[in-house]
Amino acid sequence: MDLLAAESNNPNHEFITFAIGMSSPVNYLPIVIQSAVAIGFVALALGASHLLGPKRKTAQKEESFECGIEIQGNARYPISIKYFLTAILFVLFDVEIIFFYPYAVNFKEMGIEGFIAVLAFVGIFMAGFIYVWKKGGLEWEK
Amino acid sequence: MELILIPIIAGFTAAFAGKWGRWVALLGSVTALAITFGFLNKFQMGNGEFQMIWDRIWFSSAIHFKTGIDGITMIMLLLTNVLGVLILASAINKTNRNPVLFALIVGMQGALNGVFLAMDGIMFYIFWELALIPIYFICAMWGEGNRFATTLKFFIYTFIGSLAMLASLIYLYNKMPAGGTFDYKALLAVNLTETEAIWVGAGILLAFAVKIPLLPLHSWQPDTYTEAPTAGSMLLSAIMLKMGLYGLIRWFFPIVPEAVLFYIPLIIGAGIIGVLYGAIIAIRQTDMKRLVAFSSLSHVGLIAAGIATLTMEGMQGAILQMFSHGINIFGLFFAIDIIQRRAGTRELGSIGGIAKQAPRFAALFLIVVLGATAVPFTNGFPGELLLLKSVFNYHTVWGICAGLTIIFCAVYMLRMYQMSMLGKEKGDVYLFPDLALRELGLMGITVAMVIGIGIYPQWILDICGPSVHKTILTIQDTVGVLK
Amino acid sequence: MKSLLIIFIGAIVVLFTGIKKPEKKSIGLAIAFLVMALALIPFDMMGKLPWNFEIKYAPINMVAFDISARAFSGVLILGTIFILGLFSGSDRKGSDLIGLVMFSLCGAILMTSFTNLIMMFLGIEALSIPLYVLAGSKKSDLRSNEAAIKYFLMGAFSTAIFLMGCAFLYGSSKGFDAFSLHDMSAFVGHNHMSPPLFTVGISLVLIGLAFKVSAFPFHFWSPDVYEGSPNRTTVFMAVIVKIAAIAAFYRFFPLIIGEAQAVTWGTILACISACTILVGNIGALRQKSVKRLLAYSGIAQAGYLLMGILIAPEKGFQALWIYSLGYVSANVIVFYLFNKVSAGGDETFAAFRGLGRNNKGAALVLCLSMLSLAGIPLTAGFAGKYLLFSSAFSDYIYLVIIALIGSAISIGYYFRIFKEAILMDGEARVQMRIVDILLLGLAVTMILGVGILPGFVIQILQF
Repeated sequence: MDLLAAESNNPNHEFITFAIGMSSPVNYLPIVIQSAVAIGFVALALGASHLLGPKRKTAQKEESFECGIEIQGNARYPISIKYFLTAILFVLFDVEIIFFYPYAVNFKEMGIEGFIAVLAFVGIFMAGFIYVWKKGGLEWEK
Repeated sequence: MELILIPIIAGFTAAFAGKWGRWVALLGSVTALAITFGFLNKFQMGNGEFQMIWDRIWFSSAIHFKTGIDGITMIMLLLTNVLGVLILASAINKTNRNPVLFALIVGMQGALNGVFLAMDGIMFYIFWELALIPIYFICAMWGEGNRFATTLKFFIYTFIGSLAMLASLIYLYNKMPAGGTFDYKALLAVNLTETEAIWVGAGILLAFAVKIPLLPLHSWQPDTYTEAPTAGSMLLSAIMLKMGLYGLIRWFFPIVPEAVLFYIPLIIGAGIIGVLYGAIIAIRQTDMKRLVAFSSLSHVGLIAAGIATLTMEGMQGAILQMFSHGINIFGLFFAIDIIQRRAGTRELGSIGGIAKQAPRFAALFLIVVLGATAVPFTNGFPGELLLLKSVFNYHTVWGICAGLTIIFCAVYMLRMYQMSMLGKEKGDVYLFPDLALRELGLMGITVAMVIGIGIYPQWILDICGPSVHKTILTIQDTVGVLK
Repeated sequence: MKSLLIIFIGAIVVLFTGIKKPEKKSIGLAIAFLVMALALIPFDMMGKLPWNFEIKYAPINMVAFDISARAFSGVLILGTIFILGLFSGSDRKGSDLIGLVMFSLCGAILMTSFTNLIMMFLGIEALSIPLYVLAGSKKSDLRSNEAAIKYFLMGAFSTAIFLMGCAFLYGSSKGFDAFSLHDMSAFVGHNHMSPPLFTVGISLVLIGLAFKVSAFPFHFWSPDVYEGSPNRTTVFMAVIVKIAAIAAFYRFFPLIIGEAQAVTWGTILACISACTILVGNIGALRQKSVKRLLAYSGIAQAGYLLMGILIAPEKGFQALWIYSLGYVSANVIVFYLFNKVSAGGDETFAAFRGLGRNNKGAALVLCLSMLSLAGIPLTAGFAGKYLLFSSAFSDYIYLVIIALIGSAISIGYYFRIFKEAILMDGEARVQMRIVDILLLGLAVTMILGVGILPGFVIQILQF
């Protein structure tokens, strides 16, 4: 690899001349803006829904489950851990799909190397799946 | 090399040798003594340079395992190994069967040999620290009273001192141009400004002053001596103290000669005040071990002051007195141990009249006491004479103060002897059997050395003379430039 | 790379083969894989190109197994072998915990070998997530649960900060790879500027790493977490996580300090290091529980390790490596013996009482490792400390003085364990299997070998 060429072509040089100023309080502005946006978004979203949303409080509205049947007991009722387990496993394998989108878009360009990489990725996931299966994580009643 | 390794290996073997441990340890110790005599035989008198140099690369090219013997080292080796054997032999008795004690003693002997032989700064530091570990365990495992707190105090005091020394050594190393080493000669060759030298010297002196101990840093000493087992007290006072004094001669003054003018009055002052302080407190003591501890403080102060005069008499007297003091203090502690084991106490008020029951013991003990009091024809006399002369020449007032030590010393030593041995029988002394063969032998050897050195001290002066001369020249060269 | 893959595959294999067997039956297999990985380290890519920056950090690689990466990976794998071998597994079925330890080790190895911030982040996550589970692996123990939650919150917090820092660094240097970072810092240093995004990014990443090494002022979580976690997890955290984080620190730090900023960042890091040493050592003095004491001692040791990052890369690397060898073996020994003597539930110093009388060998080994931690000569601890202190002396003399004071303080608490183990009578007893004796023997050999002949050990790095 020709490192010297890499250095001279490094796009950073142009960028750096643009991005770097002297160190004065003004230069911290991007950070302040970023923090402000982060906090502002949360405040805005919560505040807006609080202010704008219509409020009609009735006894039924305040109930935990709006399903027409009389509620029995407390909302903080311990639910079997199996629900959570299944939910988490679902999320895990569901998120996996996200990684397939970029691969599907670049399928041709990435060629055989990309295919192997994705195969390894899926393979590891499958190993996890089989492990969960073998461990009995998918059995509802044991 | 073998002087260091053999005792340490013997120590490790002895720790696991069970019943035979003590004999393995004794064998290792005696072997080391034999090797020392071998070196003495090969030693060229009248040569002030280091001889029999053994040099190997150790940590890196900067840190060597380098040993060498000159006159001063030779005396210290003799002291260490003779006393090592004696202390080990004195500890072998029926009440103590744990091989670990003997292993630690003999291991300590090896580490001490390493301290005296080292010709490399870091090697010196390593053995200096290493010598601390066995004595810590000896005192903590077999001590009495509040031994944990006392020994921990002792350990932390000395450890802080030695860390300061390490910092100073590294500072010197960093002053060298690239490719410097911790070799003794290389450390000597570093040129410092006076301020630097004072700081570097402060670090090194802290390590030695704690060990000696010089006055403001002495507070660990009496408690540790009193609460340590007899073998521990012997090792501490007879040999370990001398590490500090030896360090002053070998590693302090020659390395920071630029700061000599600053430190001479300090050390002499601290030494002489220590002489008076130790002596006055010793007079008031009733615990015999504590009394000897303070007497040791007093004697050592005088030795330090003598070294700091940087004269031939002062240094030679110091070396002679280091040797004699080692022997005397061994004799004293051994005698106290004998009294304690037979009478069950070492409080001066509660015993008396032992001489009638044990005349042989009384006679031998008397000679040791006289040696410690520096009566002519005992080993204490010539050294003390030289030391006093050097201090007197330095400054008359200091000399007179130091001279008081002879009177004080006579007071507390003879008081101790008189109260315990003479007078009416008191305490459990009616069944005080006279010395057994082993004890008689050990006391006999001690007394023989006390008298032998008292009559013919010249051989020690001959061995160390040329090296002392050379050391003083090295220092005076730089001091002369400063003046 | 080869050893990383072997460990990863090994973890999966161990998971599958251990489904129906008791946990302790799987340990042998796991150790076999780790030994294989250890043996493969010398054959990894990037042979003798230790300090050539351009090739090492060429943007094409996400990881580079240069000499420092391989040396630190070696220590980490060795440490894991010690941990798995000495802490025998339970009778419970399933080997998930062992698999998690091995996955965590994969993360640790990535942290030693990244050349790209993304890989560093991946490494930290792969290291931490299994640890959250491991910390809570004593499900019925409340303290273990507490430790897991605390560790998880702290870990998530620090990772978020770290990620924020990465984002800022990306924003300023237009790349995650070491090459662009270094380019940027060189440019910045050359032109004597301090661009805000870059500076803030570096600070945030350093904070994230400081959490992981438990450096002041981000050390407060470690005593609680150490105390609550099961012993095997605690020692893994104390040894593997700390060394991996220091290795990551060591790799990251030279990238982002340009010429001009070396002094600034060096001073900041030196202050952190000094405070960490003092806080760790002083905090340890007042502890009653052995695990908390070791946590504070670990904080202090992190302070010493940080000194290694301040000094010139090659010297710093040797010093850190030697130090970490001693640190790993001494800690493993202490935790092992503590694990054995505290089986009755007593986790204070008193648990060690009587060890000297009942097991002379064990007591000797304990003393040796304590001496090594305190930095007494002829142990690995001294060799490491000596190398660190002497190299840092010329530039950071005050730091060295503080470190020396810290060492003196540390005697106060390390010797308390001596006192209990050797001088007090009690019922402490250790029954060792042959494997334990072999591994302890190896650890002792390392402490003494590195301590007596450090020059020779450094020579190993030349291969």
